Amino acid sequence: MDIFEKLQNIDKRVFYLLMALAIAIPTISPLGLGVDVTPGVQSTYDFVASLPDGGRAVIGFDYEPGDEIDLNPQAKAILHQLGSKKIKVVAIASFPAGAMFAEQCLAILEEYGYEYGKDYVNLGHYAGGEATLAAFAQNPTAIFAKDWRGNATSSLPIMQEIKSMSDFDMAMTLNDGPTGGTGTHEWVRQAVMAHNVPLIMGVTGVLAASNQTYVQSGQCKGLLAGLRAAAEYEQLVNKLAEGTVGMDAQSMAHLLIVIFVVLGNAAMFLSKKVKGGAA
Amino acid sequence: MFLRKTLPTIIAGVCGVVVVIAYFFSIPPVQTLASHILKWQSVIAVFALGLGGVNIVRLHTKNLQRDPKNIYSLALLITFVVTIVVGLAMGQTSPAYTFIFDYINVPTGSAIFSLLAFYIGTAAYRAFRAKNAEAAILLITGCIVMLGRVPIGAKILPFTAPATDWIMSVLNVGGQRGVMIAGAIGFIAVSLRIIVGLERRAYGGE
Repeated sequence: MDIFEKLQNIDKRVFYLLMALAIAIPTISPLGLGVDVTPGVQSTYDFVASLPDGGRAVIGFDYEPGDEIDLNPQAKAILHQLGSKKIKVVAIASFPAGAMFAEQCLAILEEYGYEYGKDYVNLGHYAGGEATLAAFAQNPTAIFAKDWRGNATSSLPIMQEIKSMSDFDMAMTLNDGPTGGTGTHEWVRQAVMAHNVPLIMGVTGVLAASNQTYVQSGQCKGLLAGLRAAAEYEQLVNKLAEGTVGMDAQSMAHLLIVIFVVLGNAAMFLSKKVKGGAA
Repeated sequence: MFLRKTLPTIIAGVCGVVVVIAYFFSIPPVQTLASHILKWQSVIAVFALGLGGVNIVRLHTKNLQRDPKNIYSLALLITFVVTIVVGLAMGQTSPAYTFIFDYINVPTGSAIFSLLAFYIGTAAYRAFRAKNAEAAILLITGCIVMLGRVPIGAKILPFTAPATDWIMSVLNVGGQRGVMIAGAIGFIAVSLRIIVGLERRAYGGE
């Protein structure tokens, strides 16, 4: 086996080791590469900034463990902006774990003087996907008789102001796909099409491609895709956190994969050339 | 036959027609009825969730009876029971339940998901070979997007960031729209077949 063939067949354990180092080193000691804010994230930020102070937002925490790496930083960054504008927040979740993530992320609002039940609420998990979201959109308290903490929703001041989805100034879904929960398509149908509520989406990196269509059609006012969007949003709200730190590790991981792909292809071409020359 | 096929078909047909009419037209009695149907659906979905739990317990209990050394089924049953007992007895906002979520559920989920970085990386290295024109286009596009999505890519090759935006918003959206429209038309066709009772497989038939 010549050097070129060896380069085409590097032991996967070598790759695993390098990948582990590429992720671990920047995580432990951030490189501070920084991120430029892209127009898509800037327009999402501008849209939220244009909402009236003291307005109302519903956020769907539609994701499970595994995707919180992308979506928790997005949620936290946008909650900082909502908090600074005193926008009241109602959280719902189409996955049981989503309600737990909502509880963690919503704690940020207390930095802005929010009071549970009056300025924000975590309604918890609902089963039934789109049909239940449609029922929630018609009458939220009919679906959630109690919130995640066990309080009767009819007794919460924030829920007395909200009679239907139309009472929200903005809807947002933090979404890892339609499998088992409520997907972005369902949110478009039930929030935007049925109740004309502006929608923004926070999705995992792999879902960016399929949801870009809604941005161009105007049905989605802003799309945050993956950890990068979280890092950009953290810059915009001036709260650098795990999104910014994670981007260094993601940068190095992507770079390593591209280096290996280029190496494999270069070795393949050179190997062919050497063999062709020898023949 | 009536209970297994005809009755579910009638229920599905009536519910489907009412909800579709209520979505597109503002007819108060129909919308009230649709609102009730949607609430019933959410109740049924909760029962389905419970049924799923019972099914998991049955399946893994049988696995254990067949092979008492099956530690995976044993681990699943233990964590299943412990989580339910803690959730019911102490509440889902209790420190114990939060501990299970924060220190078992989330780390295991993240650990499994993070394996993708290793497997996809080696798979890309072995499979992304420019053996023909189509493969070369896929390879070049993939590398540009991978670099364009991260800060270091824009620092090494500045053209990758705008090129990624163009690929995502022009090439990708064009293809995605075709897929979504075709999928939606297929979805409408299947839904209509269920509503009018032509799609028997939805009720467990052939």
